[in-house]
Amino acid sequence: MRYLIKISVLSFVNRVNSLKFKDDFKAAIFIFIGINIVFIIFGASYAFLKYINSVAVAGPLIVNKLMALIFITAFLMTALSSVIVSFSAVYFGRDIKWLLTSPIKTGDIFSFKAANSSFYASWMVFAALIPFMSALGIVKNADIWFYVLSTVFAFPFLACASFLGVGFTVVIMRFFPAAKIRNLIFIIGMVFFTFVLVFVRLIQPEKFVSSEGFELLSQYLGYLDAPTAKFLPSWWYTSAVTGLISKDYGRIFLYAGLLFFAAVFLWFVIKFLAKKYYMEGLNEGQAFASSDIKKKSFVKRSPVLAIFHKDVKVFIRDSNQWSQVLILASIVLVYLFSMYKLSFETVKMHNTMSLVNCALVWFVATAASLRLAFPLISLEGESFWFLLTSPVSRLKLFIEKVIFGSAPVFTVSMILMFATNYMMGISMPVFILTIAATAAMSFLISCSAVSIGAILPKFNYSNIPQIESSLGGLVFMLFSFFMIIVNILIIMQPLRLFYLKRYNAAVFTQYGAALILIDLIFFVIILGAGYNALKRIEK
Amino acid sequence: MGSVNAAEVRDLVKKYGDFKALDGISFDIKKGEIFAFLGPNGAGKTTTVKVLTGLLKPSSGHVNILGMDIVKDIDLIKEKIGFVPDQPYVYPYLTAFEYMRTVGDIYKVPSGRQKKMIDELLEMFEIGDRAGEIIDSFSHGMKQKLVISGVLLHKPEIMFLDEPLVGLDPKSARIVKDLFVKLSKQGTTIFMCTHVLEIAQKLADRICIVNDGKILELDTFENLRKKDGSGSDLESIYLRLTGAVNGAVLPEDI
Repeated sequence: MRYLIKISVLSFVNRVNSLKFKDDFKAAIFIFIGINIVFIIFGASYAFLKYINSVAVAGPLIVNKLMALIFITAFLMTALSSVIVSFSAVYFGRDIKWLLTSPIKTGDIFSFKAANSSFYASWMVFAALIPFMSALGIVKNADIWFYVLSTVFAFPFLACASFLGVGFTVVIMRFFPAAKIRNLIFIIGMVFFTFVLVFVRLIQPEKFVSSEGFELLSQYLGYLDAPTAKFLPSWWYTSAVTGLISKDYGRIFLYAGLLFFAAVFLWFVIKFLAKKYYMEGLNEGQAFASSDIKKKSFVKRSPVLAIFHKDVKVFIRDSNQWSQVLILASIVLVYLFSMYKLSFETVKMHNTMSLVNCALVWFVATAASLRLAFPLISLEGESFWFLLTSPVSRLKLFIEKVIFGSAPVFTVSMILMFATNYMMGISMPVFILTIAATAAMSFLISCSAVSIGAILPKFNYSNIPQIESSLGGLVFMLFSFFMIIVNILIIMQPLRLFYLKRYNAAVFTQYGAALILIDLIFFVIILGAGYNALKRIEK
Repeated sequence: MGSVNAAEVRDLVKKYGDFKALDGISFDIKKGEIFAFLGPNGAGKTTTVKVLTGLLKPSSGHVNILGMDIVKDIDLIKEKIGFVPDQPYVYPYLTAFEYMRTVGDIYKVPSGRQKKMIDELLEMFEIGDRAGEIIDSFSHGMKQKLVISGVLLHKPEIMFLDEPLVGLDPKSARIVKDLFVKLSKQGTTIFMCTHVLEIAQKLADRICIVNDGKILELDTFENLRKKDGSGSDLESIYLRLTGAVNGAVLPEDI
C-alpha cells in the first residue's frame, strides 16, 4: 500500500516541480476562481442563514431543517459521484493492469483505488461545506470547537457516502459484467433516480417553504423539528452539528460516534465485498462486447458523417461516457418533478418563475454541456493522430464536434423548456420568447463547451470526471454563467412589462433583436477561438 | 524543386521550448523509394515523421510533400499520405470492421474497393475472423496490423511508418516486408523509422541516420559501407556513427 501512496505522492510532487510559467498561471487562475467560489458560498450562506435564523419562533428550526436538506443532498451527490468515479478508477483505471501484475496485494490495490475514488468523489463537496459551516458558526455565535469538530465530523460523514458508492459499484460489477455495460449503467441510473425521487417526495420541500399546508402552527413546528431521513449519516451529521451549536455533549458523542462507527464499518464491508467480488468483477470487466456483423453495410458516407457515426458508436459503447448521462437524467427529472410540485398563483410568481425557469434550464444546459460537449476534443486522446492526419480539415472536424455536442444539449433544453412552460401555464408571447431564447442559449452554451474544450483540452486523463473538473471545465462554467446572466438581464424587461399588462410588440422585438445581437457576438467570438485552438493542436 | 521527389525537407527545425528536437535537417525522398530513418531513442525520428504528416508544425525550415507545402497545403497532402504511428492507438470501442469502414469513408475510398479490400486486408493479416470485435480486445500486434490495413485501404502515394514491425509476429512481419517491396515497385514511397537494422539494410534504397536532431549520414547501404571502409553490416556502421560502439557499462550484479 505504501508503494501506491508513494507513487501518487511522487507523481504529484513531480507534476508540481515540472510546472512552467504557463502552468503556474493556469494554477493561479484556478486557485483564484476557487477562492472566489468559496467566498460566494460563504457570503450567500451567511446572508441566507442570518435572515432565516432571525425569523421568530420557527427560525432556528428552519435553519436545522435547511442544514439537514443540504447535508442529505451532499450525501447523495457524494455517493453518486463515488459510484461513477469508482467505476472508472477501481475497474477501468489505466494503471490497473500494471498494478495487477505487480507483487502488490490485490486487496491493497482495491483499498488504494477505493480511497482514491472516495477522495475524488468528496473533495468538492467538502470544499463547499467548509464555507457553509463557517457561515453557520458565525450566525449561531459558535465557539472554536464548532469549526474544528464540524470539519472533523465531515470526514466520516463523506466517507460513509463514498464507501456506499464504492460498495455499490463492487456489487454491480460482479453481477453485470462490462459486456453488458449498457444494462449496468441503466440499472445504476434507475436505482439512483428512484432514490432521488423517493427522497424528494419524502421530504416534501414544498411543505418546508410554507406553513400554509399545516392546520396549526404547532404542526408546522413539529414538521420542522422532525428528523430528515434519520437512518442516513446525513441526519447524524446534522444532529452532531446541532449538538455542537447547543453544546449538547450527549448528542455530539452519540451522533459523532455513529458517524465514525458507520465509516469504519462501511470500510470493512467494502473490503469484504472486494475480497469476494473484486477479482471476479475485474475479470468480467476485461470481457468485451463483440458486435456481431451479420450484415456488413457499405452505404456511402461523407467523411464528416463517418466521423459522426464513429463518435456515436464510441459514446454508446464507452461506459465512461454513458455514465455521464445518468447524472444528467437525474438533474432533468428532479427539476421537472420540482416544477410540477410548485404552484403559481400570483402574477408576480409567474413573472419571477418564468425568468428563474429560463436561468435554471440554461444551468441544466450548462451541466449537460459540461458532460457531453466539453470533453469531446479531450476524448479523442491518444487516437487523435488518426483524425489529425486524415484529409478532414480542422474546420470540418470542429463543425462535426459542435454538432455532435450540441444536438443532445439542444434537445434536452428544449424538452425541458416546453414541459416547464406547459406546467406553469405560461402565456403565448412569453412562451415564444423563452423558447426562442432557450434555443439560442442551449446552442451557444454547447458551442462554448466544445470551443473551450478545444482551447483547454486535457488529453491525459484516467476518467471523464477529470476532464470535467479540469481548468477548462471551470472556465467553461464561468463563461456559461456569464452568458446566462447577460441573457437574463436582457429578457427581464420585456417579461416584466408583459406581466404588468404593458405588453408591447415593439418592446419584445427590440429586446429580441438585442438578444440575437449579443448572442451572435458571443457565438462568433467563442467559435472563432475554439476553431483557432483546434487548428493549433499538435499531438 | 524537381517533381521526381516525393518529399523535400530543407533546414527543418522543431523546438519544444528551448529544446531543439530537430536541428536544421535537410533531405529529399525520391518517388517510389524505401527510405529508412534510423537513430537512437530521442534522436528526432518520431518528431520528423510527425512534422512530415502534419501532426506537428515546423518551428522553421521548409517541407514539401508531393510538391505541396506542408503548412499551406496540409489538407491536400493528407489525402495522399498514410501514417502508421509508433503506438497503434485506435478507437477502442469501434470494431475492426467499423474502423476500416471509417477509414474508407474518411479517405473517400469507393464502396466497391472497400467491399473488396476490407475483407482481403483483414484476412491477409489473419484478423478477418475478429472483424466484429471491438478493438480494445486486440493485442498490440493486432492493432498494428489493423492500422497498417487501414493505410493500405486508401492507397496513399507516400506511407509514413514509425516502427511498423513492432509487435508483429514473424509471419505478419514478413507480409509487411513483402508489401513494402511490392508497393515500392508500384511507385508508392515508403518512409520508415525503425530500430530493426536488418530490415533497413535489406529493404531500404537509402538509409538516413540521425542523432540529436541532426543527420549523421544519408546514403545507400553500399555507399555507407564504402565510406565506413570496414565492410561491416549496418549495425556496426550505425553503432560507430551514433557513438555507441563500445556499448553500455553493465551493472555487475545484473
